[in-house]
Amino acid sequence: MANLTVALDQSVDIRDSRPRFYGLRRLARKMVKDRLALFAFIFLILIFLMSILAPLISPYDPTTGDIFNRLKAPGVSPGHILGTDALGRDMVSRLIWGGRVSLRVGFITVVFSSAVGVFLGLLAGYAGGKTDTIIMGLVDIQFAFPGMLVALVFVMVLGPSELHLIEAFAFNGWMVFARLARSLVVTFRDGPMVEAAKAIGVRPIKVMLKHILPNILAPITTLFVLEVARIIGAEAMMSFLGYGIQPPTASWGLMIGEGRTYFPMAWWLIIYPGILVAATVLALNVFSNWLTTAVDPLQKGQSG
Amino acid sequence: MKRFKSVSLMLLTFVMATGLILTGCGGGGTTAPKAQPKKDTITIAIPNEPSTMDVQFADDGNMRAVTDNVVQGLLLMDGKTLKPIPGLATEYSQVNSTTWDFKLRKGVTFQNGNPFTADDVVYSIKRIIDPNFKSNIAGDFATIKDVQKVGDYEVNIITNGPDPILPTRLTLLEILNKKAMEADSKGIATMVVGTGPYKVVSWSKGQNIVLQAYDGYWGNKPAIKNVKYRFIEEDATRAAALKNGEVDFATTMLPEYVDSLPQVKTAEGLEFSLVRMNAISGVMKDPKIRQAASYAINWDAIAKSLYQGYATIGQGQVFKSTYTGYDPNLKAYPFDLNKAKQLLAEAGYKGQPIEFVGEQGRWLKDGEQIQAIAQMLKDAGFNVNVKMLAFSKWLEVLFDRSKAPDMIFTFHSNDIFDADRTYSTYVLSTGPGSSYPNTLDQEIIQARTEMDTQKRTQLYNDIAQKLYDDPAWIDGVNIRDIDGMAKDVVYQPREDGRLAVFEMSFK
Repeated sequence: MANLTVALDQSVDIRDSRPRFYGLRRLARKMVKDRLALFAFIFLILIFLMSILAPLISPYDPTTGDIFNRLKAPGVSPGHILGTDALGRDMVSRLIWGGRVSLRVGFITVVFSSAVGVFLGLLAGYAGGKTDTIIMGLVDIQFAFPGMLVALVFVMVLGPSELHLIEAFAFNGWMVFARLARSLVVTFRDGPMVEAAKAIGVRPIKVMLKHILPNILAPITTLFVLEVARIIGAEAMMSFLGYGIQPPTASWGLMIGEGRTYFPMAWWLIIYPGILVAATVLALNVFSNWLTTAVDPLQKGQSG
Repeated sequence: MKRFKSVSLMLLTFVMATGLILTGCGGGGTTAPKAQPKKDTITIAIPNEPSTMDVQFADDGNMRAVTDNVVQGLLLMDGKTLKPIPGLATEYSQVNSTTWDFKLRKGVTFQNGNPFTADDVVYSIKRIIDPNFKSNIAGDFATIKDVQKVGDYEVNIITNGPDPILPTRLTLLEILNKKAMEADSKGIATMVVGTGPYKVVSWSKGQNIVLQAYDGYWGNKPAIKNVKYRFIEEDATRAAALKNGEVDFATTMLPEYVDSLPQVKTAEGLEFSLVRMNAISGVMKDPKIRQAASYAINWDAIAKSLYQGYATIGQGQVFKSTYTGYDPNLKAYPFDLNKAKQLLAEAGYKGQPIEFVGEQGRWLKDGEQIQAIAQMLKDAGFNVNVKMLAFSKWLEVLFDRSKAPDMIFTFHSNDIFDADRTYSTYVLSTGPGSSYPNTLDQEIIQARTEMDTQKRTQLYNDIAQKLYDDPAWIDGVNIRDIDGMAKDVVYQPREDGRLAVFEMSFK
C-alpha cells in the first residue's frame, strides 16, 4: 500500500507542476484582480467586436468618399467625427474596417504557423534523433534570414495581396512554435505518463496528440497571442511600405502610409490608426503576459 | 489608479515611438547656419538620387534636375515659349528634305578645358543612335539616320525621312566630349563633362551632388556660384527641410503644402494623366463602352479638389495649346453619368469585370487619382477591379500589347511638344504603349513626315477628332509643377519642366 500511495502522490505532483488551464471562473477572478490585464482584455474585446460587427456599425463605406469633402479635420464636417482622408472617405469607417483586416491577417497567419510549428515541434521532440536534427536544422536555417526581408521578397515576387501577405508571414512564423513545442515535449517525453502510455501500446501519434499536446497547450497559447501581436505590427509595416494590403481596402498600416504625405496639415490621418496599431499590439502583449502567469502556477506569485 | 497612469504613459510613449518610426520623421539633423553675409551656395532638395550621370542613356528626371545645368545640345529650349533656340549650334538650315546643316559655335570649351568641335557632335549623335548602346531615350531620336562632319565647325544630320521636328528633338540630345569619353568611357556614370554653365565637382553617393559655376562658360555666367543637391524622398520631409532652412529649394511640392512654405512658384509642367483603354480585345473593345468611361469621370472634381486647382483638364486631347497637333476645336468630354449609363446599356454591358491597372508613388497623387477614377467608374456602373502594381511590373504591362489590361493609368510627358510623340507611343499599332487597332496608322505616319506645317496640323486635327470619337484613352489632367523655395530665391519654373539653376539668383 505504501508504494501505491507514493506513486499516487507523485502523479499529483506532476499534474500540479504542469502549466495548464484552470477553470474559467478562477481565471476570471484572477483577471479582475489584475487591472492592467483587465484593461487590455476589455480593449481587445472591443476591438474584436468592432471588427466582427464592421458591416453593421460602420457609418460609411470605407472605400468610397466624397472627393469635394476631403481632408476635413475631426469634428469639422458633420457626420465625420474623426474627419475624412485625402479622398474624402470617413476616418471612422476606415478605422473600423482597417481593424478587421489587421486582425484577420494576424489570426489566420498565426493559426497556420502555429499548427505547422507545433506539429513539427512535437515530432522533433518526440521522435528525437535524425528527425529532430533535420527539423531543428531547418528552424535554425530559417531563423538565419531576417523575417521582414523574406516577407518583402516573397510579396515582391508574387505581387502584393492579403493572401500572399498571410502566406509570407506564416512561412516565416512557424519556427518559434516548433522550437517552443520541442523544448516542452522533451521534458515530458521521458516522464512516467508517456512511459505508461507507451507501455500499454498506444500509437506514437496518439501519444503525441492526446497525452503530450494538452499538457503544453498553455505556453503555446501565450505564444500564439504574442505572435498575433507581432503579425499585426508586421502587417502594418508592410502595408505602410506599399507591399501589404492594397488600396482602396483599408488597413491601419496602409492608412498611415497613405496619410504620411499629408501629415504636416492633416495629423488625424496617421495619429488615429497609429494609436490603434500601438494600443492593440500593446494590449495583446499585456494579455499574453498575464496569461503566462495566470496559467502557470510556478509564476503564481507575480500575477497577484 | 497609479497603475492606470503608468498604462496610459506606456501607451503614449509607444504611440509616439510607432508614429515616429512609421512616418520616418528623421530629416537630416543639421540646421544650416543662417544669415551668412554673402550667399553663393544654393541647396536644392530633389526626391531621389540620380541613377547615373550618363545623360545619353537614362530617362531619369532626378538626373535631369542636375545634368540640365551641366550639359547642352546643339539647340536649347526656350523655357517660356517652348521653341528651340541656338545652343552649341548658332544657325541651321535644311539642305534637302532629309539633310540638315548645322553651323557650330566657335570658342566653346568643355569643362575639362577641351575645345568643342564637330568631332564631339559626330561622336555624341553616333553614340546615342547606336542600337547596341540601347539608350532609354533612343526613341526620341529614331528619325536620325546619320551624321557627317563637314568642317571643324559644321555638321550635316541626315534623317530617315522628312522630319519636321528634328530641331526640337536636338534640344534633348546632349553633346559629350569625344576625347574625355574615349579616355574613360565608364566615368560618365558618375561624372559627366559638358559645355554648360555648371561643372560637376563631386557626387557623394547617398549624400549629395555638388556643382560649381564653370568659369570658361560661353554664355551668361550664372548668378549663384555653388549648387548642392540633396535627396529627400518623403514629400513631407522635403517640405520640412525647406521650412527649417536646411535647403533653399525643394521640387515637387503638394498643393496642400503651399500655404505653409516660404515661397512657391508654379509652372504648367508637361505631365498629363491618362487612362489607356484596351481597344483591341476584351470588354472595352466596343467604342461605346470607351465613350461611356470618358463621360463617367468628373475631372473637374479631380482638378479642383484633389489637386486644389493645381491641374488643368485636357481638352479632348493630352496636349497643351502650345504643342504641334493641338486641336482648338475639341472640348473635354463633359461629366455626364446618365449619358455614361445610357451608353453602357446600349452596348449591352452586363457588369463584366474590368481590370484597371495602376501604380503609385511615381507621380504627384497618382494613387489617389486612380482610386478616385475607379470610384467614379463604379458609380457609372462599371465593375472595376483596381490592381496596383510595383512600378517595374506596371511598366512591363504598359509596354506589352499582348498583356494589355482593360484599363491602365499612366502619366504622359510629351517632351518634344509634338503630337507625334504621343500618337506613335499610344496609338500607332506598333507603338510601344499601344492597345489600339491599326486604323490610324497610315495617317500618323503621313503626319510625321509632312513638312508643311499647315497640312501637318490638319492631319493631326483629323486624328484627334477620330480619337475623340473612338477613344484610345480617357484624357486626364495636366498637373502643375510646384516648386517651394526660400524667401530670398528668385526663380520662375520653366514650362518644359527643366530645373534651371543657372536662371536662379538670390535677392
